[in-house]
Amino acid sequence: MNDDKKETPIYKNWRFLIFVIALAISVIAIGPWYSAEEGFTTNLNYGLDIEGGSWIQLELNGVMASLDADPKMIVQTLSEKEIGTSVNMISSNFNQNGEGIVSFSTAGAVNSTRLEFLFGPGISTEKSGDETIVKVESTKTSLITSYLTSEFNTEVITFWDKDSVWHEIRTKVPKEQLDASMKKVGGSVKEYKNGVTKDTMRITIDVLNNKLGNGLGVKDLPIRSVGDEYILIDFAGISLDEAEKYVSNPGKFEIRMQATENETIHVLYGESIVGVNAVVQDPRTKMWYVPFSLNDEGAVALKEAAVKTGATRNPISHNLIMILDDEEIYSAPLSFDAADQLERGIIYSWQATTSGQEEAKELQIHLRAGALPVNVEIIGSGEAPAALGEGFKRGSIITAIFAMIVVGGAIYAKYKRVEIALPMILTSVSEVIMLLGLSVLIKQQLDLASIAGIIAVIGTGVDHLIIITEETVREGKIPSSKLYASRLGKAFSVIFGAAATTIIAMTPLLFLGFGSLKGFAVTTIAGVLIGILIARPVYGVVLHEILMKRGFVDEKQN
Amino acid sequence: MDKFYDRVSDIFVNMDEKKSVGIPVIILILAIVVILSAYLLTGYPIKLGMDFVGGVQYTGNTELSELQIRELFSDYPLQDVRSSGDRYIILFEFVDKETSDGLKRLIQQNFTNVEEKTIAPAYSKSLQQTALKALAISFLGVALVIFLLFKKIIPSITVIAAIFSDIVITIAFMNILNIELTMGTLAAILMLIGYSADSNVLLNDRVFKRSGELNEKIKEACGIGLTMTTTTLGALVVMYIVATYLNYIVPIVPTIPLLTQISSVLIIGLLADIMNTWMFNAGVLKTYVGSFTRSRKFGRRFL
Repeated sequence: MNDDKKETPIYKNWRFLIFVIALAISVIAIGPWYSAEEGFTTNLNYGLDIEGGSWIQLELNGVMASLDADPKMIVQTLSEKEIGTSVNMISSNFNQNGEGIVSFSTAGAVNSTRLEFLFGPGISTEKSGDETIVKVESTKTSLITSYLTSEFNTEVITFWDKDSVWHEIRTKVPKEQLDASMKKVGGSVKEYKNGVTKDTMRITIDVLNNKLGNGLGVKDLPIRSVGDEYILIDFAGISLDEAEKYVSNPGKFEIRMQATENETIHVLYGESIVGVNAVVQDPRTKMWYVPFSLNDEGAVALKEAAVKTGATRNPISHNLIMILDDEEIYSAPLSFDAADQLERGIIYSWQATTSGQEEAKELQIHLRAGALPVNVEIIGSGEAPAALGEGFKRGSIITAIFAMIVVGGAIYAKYKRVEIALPMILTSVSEVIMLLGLSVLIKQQLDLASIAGIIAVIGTGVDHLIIITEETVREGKIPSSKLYASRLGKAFSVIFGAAATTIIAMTPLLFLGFGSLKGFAVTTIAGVLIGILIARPVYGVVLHEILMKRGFVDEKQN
Repeated sequence: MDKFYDRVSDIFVNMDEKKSVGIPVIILILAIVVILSAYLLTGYPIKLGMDFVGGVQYTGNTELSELQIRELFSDYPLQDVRSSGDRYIILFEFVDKETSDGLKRLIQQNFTNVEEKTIAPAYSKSLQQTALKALAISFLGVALVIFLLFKKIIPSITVIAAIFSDIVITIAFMNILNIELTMGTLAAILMLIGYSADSNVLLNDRVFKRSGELNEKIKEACGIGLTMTTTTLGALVVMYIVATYLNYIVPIVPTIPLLTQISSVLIIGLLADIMNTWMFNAGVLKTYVGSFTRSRKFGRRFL
């Protein structure tokens, strides 16, 4: 039974076609080129250890916790601290949704602006003889936020996760400390974890990107988050000293006010801005706002400047100008409402109006450029000189070439037939080419770890080709097509099993957030997949084709 | 070459079952003893590299001798000076910003081509946890795949035990040969889990899914497996030699410590794997399949 003649020619085999296309795409992606001026060039992206440069790993000092507390005790603690004398709690009523009112009386001086700053807008005061009765209308969640803000002197954000309210505290608070703080207000820590929310992470990365981009004059630095807690930044071709300078020094942010037509006066610096919140849209006017708040010093400085320049009475001709690193980024007059309020007192919470959402987001980042949303700490850094990396590259290429020669030699020694050894080596080389091509397409950097991964992939790849060969070729000959196909199937069941274990073994490195080892894992897994899905099936087809053409067919095998 | 594989396969296949299971078990026990004593002596089952303890590491070229380097940094918390080809690797404890600035100046004055790496101890401590987690997840994941592939309890457990033994023996040898646990060696250990599974999967596939005489099947599998492992070993030995020694001949190629680490761990692991697959796993399979065929005579099936 010789059905070989009816077989479709190899160039019509769909597996072979996919292989050729994938290989062609890879070669185009890699784009090897030689020119007299630049020598041999490719599109491959090399990692820092090869290209030279530095890296910095930052830890974001934030914690997230699900908390419980007695709203009455929070109001008491914060008010006493603010007013400076004891307060007498009158009542506290909260419904199931956590909304309610706490009231107290005090003989001390009550500054309702300060109280609003502490507890939000739901404050009402009433004089009753020598005492003042204060009502605080709020929610439990927002009172906890107020408490944490005051306790840890930092920004606190609330968010929902799995049906419960969480607080993100944007500083480093050990669990024991948080426990102790919550106990003081009759509460407890229900859940606790290190790190920050995805939103905060994104804002931090945006701000860093902006700041470093401006400082170093590089666009789109590779800034990656690692888990909820860490950020890794690569600085290709930049020394560690320079990189550190821009990471740890915040940008210089200043607010100035138009005094006369061609004169401005200083109002405050970035340190006075204590919080910048997410952008909001006014449903009525459709305008976008960036809410931000000032500390005492800043709020007073702004009032004084407004009074001095006359902005309180004539806001239109006295713009508020924001400057980041000597560049004007925003300029707008005070609203009449705000001007009026400044005439009488100070304002802590401000909103900067912009016309669009994109502008608002940009302004939010700029306002933050004075400070990142969370404190960051440099927990790791490194630098590799380019000259050394050049040597590493040479070493890696030599390793890869010699590894190929040794593997090829070992295979030839085993099978003693070029018809088998050559397709095997070429398959292996093609796997490497496709892997390199893929690395260009997915913008994966080739660092030393990924090169080790590639060499490991050559190893497993050849292992699998040996399994295919051993399974199908007996005494240098292949059986009839039908039997060949069934043996190839058997070989692949072993190969798929082996590939699955390799992929599973490397998967933890993908998710557990190891910096450089991620490259190793990505390369190994991608290499194994390219091998079993694209290259190795074609090896089976090609091997059959060549041995058949050469007449190494044994019809008697079964 | 074919004859060589044939001869070695013969040795493994003809080995007495007690010996072929016993020797790997004894070596595994010795390895555990090595790891336990390391643990008792240092508090860790393996020597931790700077990735996992934190510190400041500089690598660079210099005219100075090791003694002069120690002299130069006598005011700093120097931990280790080691040569790697024509370069020196110098390790310090983690220091504050001011000290590290001074240190850096001193390094820049005396060394060229300086590579620098700093890791805070608090972070490296958390990396220890992550590393342990990675190892555990990887091992359990592979164990699960093995169970799903074989669907038989005793063969699966045998393969998992063989992989476990590969890792343990490798870690013991890392202790003996003073190879530290770094990011590179950790990756190599995980890779080893994948490699170890390969040869064991091949053996079990041959034994359970093919017809034929048991010893013949094992011998055939062994021939294939040895071919696979030796070619891989070939590639790794090349990696080891180039990364470690080429610098002495060709100075423009520096030593590449990461590749030295990865290749040496994989070489040790693959040698352990040869023993554990073709002696231990094959030995257990011989006994297991043997007992099954014997019991079939009495009309019972254990599969």
